Amino acid sequence: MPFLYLRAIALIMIMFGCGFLGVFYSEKFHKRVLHLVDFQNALNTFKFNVDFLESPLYEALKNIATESSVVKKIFENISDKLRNFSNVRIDEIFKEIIHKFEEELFIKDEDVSILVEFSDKLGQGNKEHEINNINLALMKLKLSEEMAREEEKINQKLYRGIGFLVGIFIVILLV
Amino acid sequence: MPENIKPMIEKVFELAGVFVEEIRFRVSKPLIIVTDVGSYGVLPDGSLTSIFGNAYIIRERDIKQLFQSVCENSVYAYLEEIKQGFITVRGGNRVGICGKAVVEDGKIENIRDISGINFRVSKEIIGSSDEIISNILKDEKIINTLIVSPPKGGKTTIIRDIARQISNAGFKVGIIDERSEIAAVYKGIHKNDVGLNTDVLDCVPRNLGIVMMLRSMSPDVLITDEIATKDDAKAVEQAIGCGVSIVATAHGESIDDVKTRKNIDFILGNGGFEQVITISRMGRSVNFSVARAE
Repeated sequence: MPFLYLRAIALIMIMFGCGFLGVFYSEKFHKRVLHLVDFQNALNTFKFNVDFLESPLYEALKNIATESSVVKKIFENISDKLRNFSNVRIDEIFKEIIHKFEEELFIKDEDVSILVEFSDKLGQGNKEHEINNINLALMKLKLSEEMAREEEKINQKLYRGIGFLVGIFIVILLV
Repeated sequence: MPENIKPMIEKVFELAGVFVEEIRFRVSKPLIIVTDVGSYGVLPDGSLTSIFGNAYIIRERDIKQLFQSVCENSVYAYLEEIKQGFITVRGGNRVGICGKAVVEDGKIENIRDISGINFRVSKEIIGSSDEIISNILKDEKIINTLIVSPPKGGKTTIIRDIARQISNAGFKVGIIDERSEIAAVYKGIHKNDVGLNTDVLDCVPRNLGIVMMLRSMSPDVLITDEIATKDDAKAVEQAIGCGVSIVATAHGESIDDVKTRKNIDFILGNGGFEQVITISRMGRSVNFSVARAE
């Protein structure tokens, strides 16, 4: 009897374990949406710093406050790098720092391209050009966010379902 | 500063230190430093030469990188200064910019294709006004004074020290520092010693700054650099009319030179500036001459 109980517990654990793996995997779609929203919030704060305060880049980037600590960390790192090494290409700094935090970030390559493209034109024009550049990046990020939400809707259910189904399938095989 | 030029400039400051007044960068031309005893070319190893042809030749890329450095990679944040042809950087050093002006409706909108950059090194010399302070601070009263000298005559250095001495004597001093050169304010902190009882209005047009300071800080004396326009002179007149003393500077060779300027001649004498102090420099020696303004 105890053996039967143990076996049942093991099978339940396998089923829920697989289910949780599905949930865990599906979370990356939700986190991508959150990070895209954070980047938009960050760029809105950045826009205020540029438009109203006219702060230099490193200061405007440093003052960005966001909900997500990883997005905040990215901008802080870019700001520090800009302050200490003034003769480097800004888009290279963006690439390098985003790469540094890629394990904590859940955005896709196309989202990274939006940020790098935005950084390529940073600091070279007058205020109007800077604001246009920020607005363009915000628009692209918003579109990405909408697509990410669609993906989230489809994939979250799918991967959660697959997780539990795989769990049940293994249990059936073992039984 | 570009990585290849930085060590040269560091070496120059090791060698010539306090005597460096300007560092001049021009595309395809030698890197030159100006000291109080003459100009020298800078060799690639950072040592100085009197033969300009042997000096390090500035590349277009150097100028571009230097310009981006001066602007802290943020042209938009310095555009108003770029339009005027100079940027004041941390420490009160002024960076002059030369290139192709973009003009729209008769106004300079930008300077592009930067061809030359000139770093003017700001100097703080404590006690530089010792010789003339007794002419300005007399019987517990500040005499309205205009300080005149040609460019690079040391007006800003002198007026900064005057501010320090008057302030430490107990007067409430208000500095209108249009170009951040007098107090060298960075993030609200004065880099230069302008006295213990001094308020600084930074990066504000002189004429507006004088009126703002009068209304907000009730100063005993106002100090400002390089008055030139009619609006500046009218603001000075208003300040004196309010019973506030003023010490200011203006470009010029002598008191007669200043009198020929229609914009500011009406504030010499007649209830305006009571005296004019002229600074003349020969190498390292500085001479002052004090004259009543009438």
